[in-house]
Amino acid sequence: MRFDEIPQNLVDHARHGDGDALERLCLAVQPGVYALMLSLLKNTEDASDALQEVLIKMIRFIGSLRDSHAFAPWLLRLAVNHASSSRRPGSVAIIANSEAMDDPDLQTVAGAAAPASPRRQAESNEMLGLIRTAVSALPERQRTAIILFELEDLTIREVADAMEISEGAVKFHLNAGRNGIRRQLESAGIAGPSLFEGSLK
Amino acid sequence: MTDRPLSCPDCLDLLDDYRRHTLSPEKSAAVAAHLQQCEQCHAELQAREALAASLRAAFAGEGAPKALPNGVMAALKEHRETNDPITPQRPSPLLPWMLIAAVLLITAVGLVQFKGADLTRQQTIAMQAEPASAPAPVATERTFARSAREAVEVASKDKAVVVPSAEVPAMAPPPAAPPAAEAAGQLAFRAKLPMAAAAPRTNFDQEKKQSRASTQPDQESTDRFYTQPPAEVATMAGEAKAASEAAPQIAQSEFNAPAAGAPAKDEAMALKAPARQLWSSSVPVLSTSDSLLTDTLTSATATSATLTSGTATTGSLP
Repeated sequence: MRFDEIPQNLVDHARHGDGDALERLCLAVQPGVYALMLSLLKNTEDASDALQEVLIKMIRFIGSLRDSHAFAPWLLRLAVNHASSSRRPGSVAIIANSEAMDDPDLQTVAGAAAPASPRRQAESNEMLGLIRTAVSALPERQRTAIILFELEDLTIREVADAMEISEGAVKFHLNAGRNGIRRQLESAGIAGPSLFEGSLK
Repeated sequence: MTDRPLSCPDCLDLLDDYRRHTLSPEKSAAVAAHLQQCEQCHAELQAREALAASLRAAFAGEGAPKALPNGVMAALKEHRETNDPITPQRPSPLLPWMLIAAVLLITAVGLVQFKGADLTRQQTIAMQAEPASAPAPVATERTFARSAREAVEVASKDKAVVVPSAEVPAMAPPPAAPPAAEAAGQLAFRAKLPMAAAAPRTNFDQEKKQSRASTQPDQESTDRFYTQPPAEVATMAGEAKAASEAAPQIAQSEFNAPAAGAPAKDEAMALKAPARQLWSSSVPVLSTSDSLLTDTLTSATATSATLTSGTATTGSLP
């Protein structure tokens, strides 16, 4: 569930101090926040810690939110800022190339998105692992822009609000991030599937 | 905009907005037209869509914990304990009635004040139109007192029956007087009290000083004063009458002074004698028609004298 798909009345009640509504709101946004934290922070432990911190901040400061419609970008800013401030330097990506191949969960995910052929599934798993590695290797702003725009399906304007930068800067970081992922895949010996051909010109 | 085809950099710049459908219809149509004609831009669009799908596949499936972390639950508990009063409360069902009651109360107070102001204005207009009908309270008392004295004087002139002053029961309670006469007596009595320290007393003192100044240096003039013909004495008595009317509550000792015409060594007492004479000649005068009113006036005068002296009255006027 996207953050902007949260019912407005639930946000309203939580904003006015309704404890039950606030608990339901936490449960509603928890998967999205966790996924975002996981994509930004690269490992499950940091993502779990970040999830807890972001939700606690949401509980404490949602009363200062003046408009319920501003909840989604506000929560995104909260998450992005927390990930930016808590990112450990030199932290290891959650999935290295070798780990990606051995992770049954990722194999299941990749298998769900890839054709059923074992060969194609292996290629797909390898490719997904490489993509994670490539994303994790991106600079923070490029990675954040890529995740917010491509994974969270935010608009350029919403990403700009969440990152507190201009729309032109968002587009710059998006293009730079895509080119960075492309270079990572090229360096991994993957000529790249055809879906990246457009970016490799 | 749709007439001029987009360049490749312009199309790539708008490509992400085109994917999110946030472009205006004109710009969206221009991008769509360019994508149909430009293979490279179309390939870029496909590459971005494929990257997005790969990212979703790569980062999907990392299920979040189903239960809220312990720290979040503790924060929720703390929030419930501290912020529950912030919970918007349902308005009381009595609120509309309270509002109606408040409006009615304000309206009633406003009407009362308006009517009071209107009544005051009407009274003011009536007083301006008929000043004699509703004079000020002090003026009313003085008018009653003056009317009582005038009634006594008229009665003494027209059909007076001279009664010895000793027969007047000064402190005897007046008979059951009609309300008008009783009110007149009370008003006459009340009108005399504040006049004790008022201007008439001062005039009397000034007159006494003037008389003393004119008589003290010359003993002959004093003797001549007491040997004046009755007409001159009457004139002086008339002057003293005004003073006596202004301040009838002269001390009891002053009332016990010698009568007019008698040789007096005390000059001040001699000056007061004419006034006392007039007083004694006017008070005992009674008529059959005004007896009640006069009794009331006499009683009030005696009471005033008693109050002034601060001692028990002798029971009779000289």
